[in-house]
Amino acid sequence: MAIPPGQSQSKTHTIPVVCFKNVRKTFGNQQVLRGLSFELQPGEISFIIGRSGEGKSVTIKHIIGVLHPDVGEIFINGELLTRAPETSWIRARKNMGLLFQDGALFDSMTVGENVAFPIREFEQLTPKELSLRVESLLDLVGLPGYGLARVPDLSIGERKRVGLARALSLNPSLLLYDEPTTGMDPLISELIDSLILEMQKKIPGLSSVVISHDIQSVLRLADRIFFLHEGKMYATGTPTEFRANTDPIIQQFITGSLKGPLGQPIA
Amino acid sequence: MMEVALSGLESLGGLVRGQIIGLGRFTLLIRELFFWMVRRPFRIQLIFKQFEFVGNKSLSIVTLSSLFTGAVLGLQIGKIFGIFKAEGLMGAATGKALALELAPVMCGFIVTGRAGAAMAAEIATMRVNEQLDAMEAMGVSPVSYLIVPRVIASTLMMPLLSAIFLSLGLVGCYIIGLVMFRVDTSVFVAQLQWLVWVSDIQKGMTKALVFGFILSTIACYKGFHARGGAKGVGEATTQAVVASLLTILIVDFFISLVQMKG
Ligand SMILES: Nc1ncnc2c1ncn2[C@@H]1O[C@H](COP(=O)(O)OP(=O)(O)OP(=O)(O)O)[C@@H](O)[C@H]1O
Ligand SMILES: [Mg+2]
Repeated sequence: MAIPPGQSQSKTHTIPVVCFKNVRKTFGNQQVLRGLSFELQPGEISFIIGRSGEGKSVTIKHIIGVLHPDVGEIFINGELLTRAPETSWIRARKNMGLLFQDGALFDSMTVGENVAFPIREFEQLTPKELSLRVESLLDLVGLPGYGLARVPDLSIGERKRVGLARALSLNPSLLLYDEPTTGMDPLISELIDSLILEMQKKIPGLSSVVISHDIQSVLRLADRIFFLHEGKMYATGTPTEFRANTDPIIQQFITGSLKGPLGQPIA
Repeated sequence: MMEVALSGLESLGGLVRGQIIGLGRFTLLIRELFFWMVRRPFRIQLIFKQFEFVGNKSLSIVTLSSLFTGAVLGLQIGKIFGIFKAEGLMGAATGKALALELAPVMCGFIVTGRAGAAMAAEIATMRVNEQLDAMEAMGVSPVSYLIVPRVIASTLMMPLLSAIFLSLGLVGCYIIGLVMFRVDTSVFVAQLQWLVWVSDIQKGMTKALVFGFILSTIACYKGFHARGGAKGVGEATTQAVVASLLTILIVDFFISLVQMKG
């Protein structure tokens, strides 16, 4: 039995940071989200998992509002933002930081300018304060002294870490990570994982949403796991609940077995 | 037979629908452009950077092509006017053609090829690499940050380039007049002043201004809606250039009509 969404959520009535109600999204004739509903609780690390191409990145782009649903509603911190004016989204986004799957760095700028970009836009700092802030952010992601490096020269792992520094630069209260560790060596993955935990401890009330294919780190770090399947939230629960879940699809996904209802990968 | 006709109709329908959707998107972008033009933050620094970009990219070509355009016009016109022993008028006729038509249109073409194409490619690359999404996700409107400075800079830069084109074109014509037709300098200048009015220059400048707006908005629009990797970037760039050139020619005709009546 899959755990229906909502069933295992806490009984206290906190306002969810993110709430999707029956969200549908179609690209051309490809239905990606088919009535997606879920709630993310504040102060938690939520992991979104699911097969490649299931719409995890699309979901996270709906949270930050660079994609908008065809049907359905999205609430951020209790505020209905679907069909809200762009200015409401801009206000909401100031409290969010998003690490894109491929980093999405501005390749016409240096690493330092990339990290400084949101700070320049929204805060008045002296050049000295700004460069100190940028340095400390680059230190945090394990890239000290990279400020003057050019983006095209970076490896994919380095790009993602710069993207993470940029996402952290305005001290967001909602942090979204799209596959932060994919394509990185085990040590850097470990660094990113501990960074996710560390941020969570350091910033009170911070909520994190992580998309990941690394099932071990999912089970280790998650407060709650959301399993996206066929455009809907197939199951949600804590890591313990997921491990104990006997649903064949979930078991196949957790164990990474090739035999089961999910079938074999096409490639 | 019937099937061929039907599928032809269908693809025509698709084309028309595509154009209508495109027009709608273009209108939306223009609306957003004006929204951000009159709102903080005013990105003066970025506007100046674009001034430099458009100017730097185009100035050397404008210089070279204006000299030769003026020279070749002088050559042809001087030859014809020579039949009537009226070579002295060649500067005036060339000046009129340059001021009203050739300076703004040629500059429009040059800036499209250099700056417009580069703008379309740059913004398209940012689109397909999710950099525009990233900007938006950080609460910064790409229209405000990228498009407004480019459109303002191109629109204001075009009349300036057009003025340079006109001046150097006349120099080119004068040199031909001097060397090939032995035209007297004082006659050349006097005829020029007699036939080319300040209002002609104003009309040409107005055209240049409009062309600058057209080519930069089309370039940014094509880049903004690019899709599909490196191939998409190439397509967006080509489309931007073709659409800008055609639109400039068509709009030029209508502005000329209006200006003649006025
Ligand atoms: N802007 C878009 N236009 C058209 N199709 C899109 C767009 N964005 C995503 N898609 C399609 O939606 C589907 C889901 O994409 P998405 O990137 O969300 O997958 P994902 O779950 O993040 O996969 P992965 O684990 O490989 O990153 C894909 O088939 C993709 O081609
Ligand atoms: Mg993805």
